[in-house]
Amino acid sequence: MSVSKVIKQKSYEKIIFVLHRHPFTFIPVVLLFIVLLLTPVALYFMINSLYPQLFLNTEIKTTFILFGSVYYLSTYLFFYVRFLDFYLDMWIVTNDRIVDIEQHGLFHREITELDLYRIQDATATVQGFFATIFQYGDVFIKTASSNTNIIFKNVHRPNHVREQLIKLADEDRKYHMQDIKLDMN
Amino acid sequence: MSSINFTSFSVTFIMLALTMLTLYYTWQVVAQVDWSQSIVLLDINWFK
Repeated sequence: MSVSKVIKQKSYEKIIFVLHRHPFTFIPVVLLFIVLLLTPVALYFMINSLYPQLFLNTEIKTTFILFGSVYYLSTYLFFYVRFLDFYLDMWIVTNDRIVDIEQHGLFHREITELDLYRIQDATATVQGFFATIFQYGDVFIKTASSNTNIIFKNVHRPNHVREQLIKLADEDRKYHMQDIKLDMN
Repeated sequence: MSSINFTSFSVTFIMLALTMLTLYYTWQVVAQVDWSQSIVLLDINWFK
């Protein structure tokens, strides 16, 4: 499904950014997945070298295989849930609004929409060694109302995104003077 | 978007393939087990 269909793009609307989390932030999950996959293999060789007679017992061997199978299936599920969480989080910035799509687990999705002219403050944070090298970080977007605050998590070049957001918000305010006056009253 | 869709497809495919392989090989190994055989869970003689 295309982005314009996801956000039900209006005729006058232009998509400026489609932001995802930086791929580097997924590497720790991949490494953890590999370690989790190798753990039972290492455990098997360790037990086999310490107690070679143990796996000759059919009951123990069968129990080990069944537990190992359940463990591997759970590991795949864990990795897949983390992948979906990483991959389906998306922030779409148009010349009119921001659409924040956040996936939590397999069957929980949260979509928040914010008009650009309501943006009061945008802050970019780049924290950590790898974040500085690979240029990714968070962008905090605050509005006058305290209930809608959006955070772009681990996006590429957060400062550039922040600058563009401020420009777009200023631009959008010109078309919403009436709404701003109504909000003030 | 097409490269992102490809990533999603690949990961889903790999996860499904791994799941099928795990289930298949578990079945292959476990199929030879005689499930009607009685097993000793606890023998009081172990503590004597």
